[in-house]
Amino acid sequence: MRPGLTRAAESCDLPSMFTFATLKKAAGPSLVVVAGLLWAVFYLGSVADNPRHDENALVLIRPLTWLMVPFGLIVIAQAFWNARRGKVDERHGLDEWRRLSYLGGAALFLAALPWLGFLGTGLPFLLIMAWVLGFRRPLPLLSVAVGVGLLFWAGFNIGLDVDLPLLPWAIQ
Amino acid sequence: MIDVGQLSDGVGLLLNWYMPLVILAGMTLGLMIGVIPGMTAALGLAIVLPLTFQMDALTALILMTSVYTGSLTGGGILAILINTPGTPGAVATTFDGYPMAQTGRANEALGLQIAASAFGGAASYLVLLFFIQPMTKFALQFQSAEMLALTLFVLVVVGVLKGKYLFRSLFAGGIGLLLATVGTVITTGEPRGTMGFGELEDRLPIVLCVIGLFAVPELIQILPRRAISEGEARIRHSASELWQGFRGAFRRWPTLLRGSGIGVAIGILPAAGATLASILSYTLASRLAKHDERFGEGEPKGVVAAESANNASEGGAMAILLALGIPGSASTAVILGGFMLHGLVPGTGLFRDNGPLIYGLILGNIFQMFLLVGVALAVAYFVARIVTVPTTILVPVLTLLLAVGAYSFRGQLFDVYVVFAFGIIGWFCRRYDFTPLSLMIGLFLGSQLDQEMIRVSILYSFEPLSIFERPIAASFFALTAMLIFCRVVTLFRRKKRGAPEHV
Repeated sequence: MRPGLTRAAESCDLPSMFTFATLKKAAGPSLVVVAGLLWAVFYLGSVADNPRHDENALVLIRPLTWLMVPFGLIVIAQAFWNARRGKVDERHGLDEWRRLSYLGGAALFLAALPWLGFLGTGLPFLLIMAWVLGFRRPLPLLSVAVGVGLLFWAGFNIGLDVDLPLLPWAIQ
Repeated sequence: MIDVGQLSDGVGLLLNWYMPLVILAGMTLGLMIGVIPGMTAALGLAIVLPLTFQMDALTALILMTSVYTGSLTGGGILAILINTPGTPGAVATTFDGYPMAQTGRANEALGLQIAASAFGGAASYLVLLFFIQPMTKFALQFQSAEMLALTLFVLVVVGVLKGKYLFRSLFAGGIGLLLATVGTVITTGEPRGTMGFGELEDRLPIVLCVIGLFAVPELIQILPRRAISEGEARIRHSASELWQGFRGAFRRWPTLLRGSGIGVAIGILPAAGATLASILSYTLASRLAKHDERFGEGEPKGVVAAESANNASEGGAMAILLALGIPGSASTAVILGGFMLHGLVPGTGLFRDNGPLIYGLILGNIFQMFLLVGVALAVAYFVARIVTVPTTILVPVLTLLLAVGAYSFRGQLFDVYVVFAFGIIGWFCRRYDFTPLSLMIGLFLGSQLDQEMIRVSILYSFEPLSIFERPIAASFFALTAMLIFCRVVTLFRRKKRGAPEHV
């Protein structure tokens, strides 16, 4: 057998392709593809099943969704192939405390926004997040908070005439 | 071509003491809006529109176009400093501008950007001054078939740009196209894929999606750093470097001219605009790169190519607005409102009835570009310090600005969530090499592609092949096929040579 073919045959060795280590390495891109395809197929189905839509509503999304399926399968196969051959970038993801803290803080900020308004959530978010991330100079921090508050109120609400819901009672 | 009598009357209309002040005020507001992520030129124009009620028509239009120009340039400043395009047209500026900022060359990059913006803008208005009639005739040739062919061509040209893995880029582009079609279908008026969210019936706010896609992952990414520019690469507060960058743009004059040409040509096509122009110009510049030029790693030519095309698209968009009354974007739609407000109806009669005013407007915009240099350099000089601000305070502040900017887009909290949702999508795309740029191109072109395909399927349903009888459409289809063929051949050749090529 030619060396290239031997290598290919070894790489396609299915049992070794699905070891825990390989699965772990290929999981990221594969999950992105699965999530993307599930949404695309759900989207196509919801349009195709709706009797109020005519064929024109599907003229782009039907062929595109079916085209995405082989593309997605190729991406998954390639992710496993690369994982099997150890060709995966070992980059840091969200497993860094500052990134996780930020995401947690941002999620809380967004969750509270409809109830507390931009100042009611924004200023606590700014003060707590900066402190947690390691900014330990109280006076500059307070100055920045006051500056941001003024920018929202004077800059946006008055200057740019954007009707920002700043405080809880402004939320409708 | 040019009516010299009307031109000199137009110059006369411009010669008054308050015109430079109006331009300065509009430009400063535009730059401020451009450097806030999420704030768009359309919002700035909507703010100044009521202020123009008491002004004469020329002053009002000059004020509005100053805001427009300022915001286009301001978007580029933000793109360079924090890798977040302040306007969608500045996306391509991030490719080389941000790497320059990270390596302590932010001032140089800003100088390049401002020079390229001013040159592109001035060149486009000069072209407009001389060739507005042929430009509009050319634009009128583009009907559904041509727009469909052009959209497909652009998708193929830029869809796989900068991607490490071809199929991941294609997948991301496909998802972007599908996401852009969510909303009301033009034929039935029925919402599609909105999952019950009424806010999505008007389609996704693409500008905010793009900002979220790039800004949020960048904020997450820079958190472990002390500042955007740190260590030996720390930026100096240097006017001479700004000036050096400014002059550097003119040393790269072929790129400058090519970018401006692409900007004008793409700008005249409705709905194509600054984003496509800048990405196409950047792609072309990177394909023509010499061996020692490393696009994507801080190559000054990349900034020049992107920014010259970005601002040059303004003149093209204005040509189509003046001559046909077709707004190519939300911003030019508000400017169209400004025309109407002052009793001016864009179209073929505009030049005949209001020649001096239109010449005054075009000349005023050329003059704006000179003032832009001064104002933008001053703003850039101070704003450039942002790259030395500790990320511990910068990231929370930018997060709040992002949220407020998103809210101000349509006055809906829903848009704030759209920005952050796309931020998470962008982070996953970036983490697993799904090329956020391809997703963005899909988002930009999806709606247009969908609408053109629907129109073409209705118009050509009886004779589908007759679409190839239209010369411009057929040429674009042929070019698209050729590009795909060349790409496949290159892939196979590289594989044969054993060169590393991800698929």
